[in-house]
Amino acid sequence: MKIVKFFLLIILGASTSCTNNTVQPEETAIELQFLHNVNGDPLELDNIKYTNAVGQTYSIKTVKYFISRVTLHRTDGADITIPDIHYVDIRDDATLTYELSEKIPYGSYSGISFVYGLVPEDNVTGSLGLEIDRLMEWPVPMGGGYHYMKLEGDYNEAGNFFNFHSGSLDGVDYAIHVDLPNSAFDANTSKLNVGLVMEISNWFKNPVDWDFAYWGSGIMGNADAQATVQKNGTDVFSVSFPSSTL
Amino acid sequence: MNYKTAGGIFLLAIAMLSCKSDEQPAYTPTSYDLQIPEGFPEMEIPEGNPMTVEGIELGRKLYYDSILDQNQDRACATCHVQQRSFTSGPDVLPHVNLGWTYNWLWKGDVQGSLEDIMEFEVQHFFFTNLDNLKSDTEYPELFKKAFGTDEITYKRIEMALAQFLRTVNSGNSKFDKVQRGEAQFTNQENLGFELFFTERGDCFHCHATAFFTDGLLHNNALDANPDPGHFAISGDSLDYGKFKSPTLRNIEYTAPYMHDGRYATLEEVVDFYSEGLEKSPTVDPLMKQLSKGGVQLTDEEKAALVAFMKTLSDPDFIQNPEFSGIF
Repeated sequence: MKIVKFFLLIILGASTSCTNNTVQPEETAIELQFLHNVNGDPLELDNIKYTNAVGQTYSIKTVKYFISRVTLHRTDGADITIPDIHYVDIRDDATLTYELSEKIPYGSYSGISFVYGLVPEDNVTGSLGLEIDRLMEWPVPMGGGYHYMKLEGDYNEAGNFFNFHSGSLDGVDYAIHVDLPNSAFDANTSKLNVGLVMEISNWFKNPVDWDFAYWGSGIMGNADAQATVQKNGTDVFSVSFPSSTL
Repeated sequence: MNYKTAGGIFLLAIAMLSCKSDEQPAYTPTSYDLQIPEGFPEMEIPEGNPMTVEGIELGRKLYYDSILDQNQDRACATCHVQQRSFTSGPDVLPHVNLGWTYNWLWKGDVQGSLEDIMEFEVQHFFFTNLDNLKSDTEYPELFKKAFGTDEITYKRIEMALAQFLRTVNSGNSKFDKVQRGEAQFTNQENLGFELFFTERGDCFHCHATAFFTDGLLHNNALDANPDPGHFAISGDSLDYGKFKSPTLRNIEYTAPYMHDGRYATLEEVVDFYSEGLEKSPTVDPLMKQLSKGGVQLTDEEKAALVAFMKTLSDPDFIQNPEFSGIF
């Protein structure tokens, strides 16, 4: 009888360990792909072919920015916020796709939100490493931290530059908490590709038609300009779900 | 004791004896505690080249020794003169705070670590003849102290030079003292500081971070028909006219200015950024006042910017005996 009990225990132990090894949590990896449009079409860099709402022609030469704190909203009300900060440079292909550092459980999600720029606790000079400091540092005398975005180009003629740089100014935060419209999805595959589209022309309209000549070539120290960028930026981003993989 | 036990003891004794006879005394050079100036980020030091007192001493000796040159005509220090913040002319970028550098030389010829640029200097600039070092009376012993072997290789030369240059840091200027609360700017320097770090003067975008350089390559509108610059390296037409932003630390000691030394004084440099910009297709959009010829500073503002830049001078650095050629 003792021998029977012994083998029963072994079988029980083995079956328990098998169960633990085979049942994996069902999770989805989220890969973001950053896309940049003007008037609905893919951006063509270095070409003064676009026209803003006040009739000025313009080109785009630089698009560098941060997104952070991507949040996946579950239909059951639970939110999953990924504490990542991602830097995007349209001229650096390596930055144009990015897999979130944490997977999310299978289930139904009501939408996606994120922060354009950095929340104050992330926006600390030197905290993102020297490589990012070189590219995006915001001077300490203007409040420190990082540029949220460098959007640059010509207007009216080549060499007539605008620097549409946004960031927090003197302690006032001008980041944008973006709730992506039409971003509900079901996580039921191992990987979900999410296209994050920046409609660049929207930075220059709604509610304020941006006049490059009025605001001047540089706006970093102008609180009104930073507030206007923040207002205009609320409808700049949208989402697409190009495909998913099992 | 049976025969198995006796045999075991015998084998163990043999093993111990053989271990003892093969074992070399472990060589441990003295670890060097690098002091990073306040306000500077941590320096990334390659795992394969930890800093040691002996390695730094060897690197410093090599830096000042013309033995590195295949013709033995010149040393690193021939062109990199300490009293001028380790430069001597427009072709020679200063050797200061190099442990945080990634793009090397004016045109960005080399990317990578200090070891990578030292490989370039030793093997492709000096064309070092290893036999000269191997037959020297001192170097084999110095390499043994630094690396545990007297075998002299290009790699160990480059590692020693990199170790020395990681110590050659400047962070004790008046600017640094003001940041630490140990000094105050004059009114003029303070105006220059404000101009520098706002878009009025707009120096900070390229002369960024604690090192007063972004280390990146830009066309700063020097010429309507610029020198090819980084295009000569990359072959990308977008890189035409691009040169590395130099550090402004110790800029007072490093005249003349720009990659071709066209400006003899800081005043001339400020005049250029104020009203001397020239259009060409690849000018960086950060030169945002290009269409006006520059940022259009008043005479008072120009003088203030120069005064501020001179607060980046670090007299302790250019006199530091630990960096000198006097041993």
